[in-house]
Amino acid sequence: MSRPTDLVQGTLDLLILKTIALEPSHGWAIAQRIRQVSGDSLNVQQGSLYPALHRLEQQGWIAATWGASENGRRAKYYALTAAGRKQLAKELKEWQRLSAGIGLIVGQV
Amino acid sequence: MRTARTLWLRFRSLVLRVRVNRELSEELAFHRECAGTPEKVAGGDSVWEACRDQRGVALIENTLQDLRLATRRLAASPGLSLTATTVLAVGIAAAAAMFALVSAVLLRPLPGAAPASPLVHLERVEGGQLLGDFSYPDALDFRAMSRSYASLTAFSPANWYWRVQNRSGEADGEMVSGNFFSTLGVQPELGRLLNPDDEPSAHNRVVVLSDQLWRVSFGADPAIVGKTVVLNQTPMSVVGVVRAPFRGATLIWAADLWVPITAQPQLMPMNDNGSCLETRNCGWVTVFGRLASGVTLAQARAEAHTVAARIGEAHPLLKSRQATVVAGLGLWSDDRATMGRFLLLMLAGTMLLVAMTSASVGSLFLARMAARQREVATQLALGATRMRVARQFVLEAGIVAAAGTVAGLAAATPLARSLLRLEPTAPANMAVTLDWRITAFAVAIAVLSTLVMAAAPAFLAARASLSLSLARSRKRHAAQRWLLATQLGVALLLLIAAGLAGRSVQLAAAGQVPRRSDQIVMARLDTGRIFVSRADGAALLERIRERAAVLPGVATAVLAACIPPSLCNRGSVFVAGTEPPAAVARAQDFLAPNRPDINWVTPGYFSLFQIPLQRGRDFNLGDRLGRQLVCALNQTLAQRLWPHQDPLGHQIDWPSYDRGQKQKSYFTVVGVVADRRVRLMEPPPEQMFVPSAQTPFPTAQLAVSGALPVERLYETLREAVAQENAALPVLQLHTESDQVRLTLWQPIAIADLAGLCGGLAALLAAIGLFGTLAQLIAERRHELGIRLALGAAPSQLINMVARDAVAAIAAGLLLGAGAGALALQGLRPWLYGVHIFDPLSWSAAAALLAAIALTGSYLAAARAASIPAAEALRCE
Repeated sequence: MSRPTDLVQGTLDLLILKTIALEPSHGWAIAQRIRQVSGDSLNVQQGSLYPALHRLEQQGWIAATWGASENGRRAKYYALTAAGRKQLAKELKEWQRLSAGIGLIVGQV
Repeated sequence: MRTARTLWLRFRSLVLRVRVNRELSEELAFHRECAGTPEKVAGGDSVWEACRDQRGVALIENTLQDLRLATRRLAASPGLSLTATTVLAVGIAAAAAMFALVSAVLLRPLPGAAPASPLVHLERVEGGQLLGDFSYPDALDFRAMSRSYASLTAFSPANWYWRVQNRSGEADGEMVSGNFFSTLGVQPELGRLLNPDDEPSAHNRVVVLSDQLWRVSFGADPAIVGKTVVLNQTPMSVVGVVRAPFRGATLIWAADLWVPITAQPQLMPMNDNGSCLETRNCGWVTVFGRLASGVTLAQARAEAHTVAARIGEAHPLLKSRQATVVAGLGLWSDDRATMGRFLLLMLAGTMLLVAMTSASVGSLFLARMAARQREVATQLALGATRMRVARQFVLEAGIVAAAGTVAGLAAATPLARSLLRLEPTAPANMAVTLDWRITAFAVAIAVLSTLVMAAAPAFLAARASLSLSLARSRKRHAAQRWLLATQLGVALLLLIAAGLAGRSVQLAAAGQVPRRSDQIVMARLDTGRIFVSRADGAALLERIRERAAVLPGVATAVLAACIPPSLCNRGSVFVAGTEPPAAVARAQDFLAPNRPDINWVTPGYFSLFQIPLQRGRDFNLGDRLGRQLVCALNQTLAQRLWPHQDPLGHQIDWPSYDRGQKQKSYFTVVGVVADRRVRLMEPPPEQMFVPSAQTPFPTAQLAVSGALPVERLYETLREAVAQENAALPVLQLHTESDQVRLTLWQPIAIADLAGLCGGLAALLAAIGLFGTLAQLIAERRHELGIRLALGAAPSQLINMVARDAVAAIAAGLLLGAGAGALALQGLRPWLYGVHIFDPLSWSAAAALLAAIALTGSYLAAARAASIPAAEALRCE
């Protein structure tokens, strides 16, 4: 239900791609890692996370496989594809350009 | 790669729907478990839905769902669906068949020729007139002097009697240059094709067969190469079989035999000494080629102009030469234009029929919408978007259109081929096959008719209100009336066209075939086929005529170069003493504006074909070689030459030339005959007749009349020929009405098609009308019941209901009349004796439609008024 209005449009994709670039993870682990790394400031809801995951999979940037999780249950693990790696690099560059721009404006005030 | 992957994922989502859905549920459940909310969290289902949407399943699934629904709805009213599909299939089949013909004449290359670079055609032009063919030396000069072509070649159509041991037959063929096949890019099926080594006269006794002739007449004999086929009297050695479907370089004739062009003197003797190879006075060779890469048509045209001028300079005694280059091959450009105009008119007619069918199917759908008001309102109330509701109507129409298109396409090519077979003068070498163009055309029509069929219902559904009462809005009634008016308008247009075409054919045929009790049959006899000299041939023809005249049952037998209504040979004639000097006359020959049509006939020709003799006498047996040359003129020619005098006894100069020397050729006028119209839209041509005994000619039409059945007359004619010379082939045996049909086939075809379209349109208009009225009345049943219960007389009710229809009918007729005034202009070139605004055709069509419409509305209204009041009130 809740849309991540606190996230800049499109940055969720970047967060997901960056997170699973380290190692393939399932949805819950991705959400947890984003929360921990951001120092609890970014809390991704499942209503945003899963549609995003499925969209990224549809676009071919990430691929899913079923595997055993830490607690022994079957879980769907997402990993970066070659195309996803390229996309991540592109989005990172874009983000740096954007945040540098915003920084300049905000810094001047 | 990525697209493939995306497609795979979509496919997986779609086909393995159950599994994908289960996996999705499992994934979300795992998340909830980890989050410590094992049972459903708020909004869990919408996450599920959102994920499915991301996978693009929803759109496809919804469409599938709608398709299922639409199919089920169509199946629920099989009568309506079947009628709609059939009606549409008929319309699409007619339009696609007509398009197949248009495509074969205007769009497709020659059957069997390689499509590579563009084929172009050199056309000989003199003084603005298209003459077409060149002489053989001209063709060789063009080949030697032109630089614009990758390959330039020549051919001439021919017709032979072939014989192999005990089998024989008549076949069309082509006499071709050595590079003919390589220019067209045609391949052999067996053996080899002709090549430049075959062109020198020393070894040109070789022939190539068509695949068709090889299979049908030679049983696909694999050892055919090396065998001998006798053409007319000349043995030719078979060197190969050309690969199907190639049947020559014209659309007109389907050729079966190809020989080197240099075999002309033996195989197709023309001219006085038989040979046309050396002289520039025979125009018999068609020149065509492939443009070299990078050369434009305009450049080729400019070059052809220069080359023609150089040939003219080199031979100052000749008529001037002009040439142009046109794209395409198979038809002369003026024939292609005429045929194209004709076919496009026919196509327009069938397209109107499709528009008509779509409108009437649309009105049926619209009428049925009334029954679905509740359904639409319920769907909207349950949260369906308006787009989705509208989409259902489009899908239903789309299914009907798709089914109609498949059925229509299946019928289109057989229909086109049978249309071609019906027309005796239709081109024989047209590729009428189901290709991508025809398919694309039919699909485009289907899309358009889907839009027409679905537009009104979908529009109304999209604007429908939740409240049931509003679904009965005036808007729908307005839409219904418009559809009804459109149908009536198109029907009126088609009926008027049918009336005009029918009347013009009737008038034209009445002018062509005089009423008579006897039958006339005719055949072409060509003594060149049995290789006798010109004089012997003419004598043989005369002996055959004399013999035919005395056979039992025969009233008259005549010979003529040409038989009405076909035209003959044009030539320049002058009042004796006014002719220009020989050089000028020759140079201006083709420029002269009025060159009469000249025919060779025997005595009795005028009375047999009922051409009234107005002054003087008919030819008689005394008009023979060695006597004074005589001629007869028709009224038009006589009036031009001697406007205010009696032409009898005056002399006409019809100059002929032998090696540049003018021959004395004065003809004394002995008779004047009535005019006879030949071309429908043109005034009667100027005509001159000369006795065939004074200008012996080796080929002629033999016409025989008698009070016998046609088959017996055919036998009699064959018998007369066989008794004189059994080897002489009897060609193109046919009756006088066939002869008229050969000339009139285009107007007749238009009349047939217009009649068919008009009849169908009237029927469709009636169907649409009944549907619409029944619906209008069904909706007013309640009201009618109340009126009845309150004491209204049934006749009052009938009037009230019918009045509703009258406005729509009047609007439709006005619409049709307005469109007709514009659209019917296209018919003008094919009409004879009737004006486009022929009052009889217009009023008859309008009266017929109005009668159908009014009867329909009164019947429907009467049925409504006959329902007992109580029942009408109960039905809500």
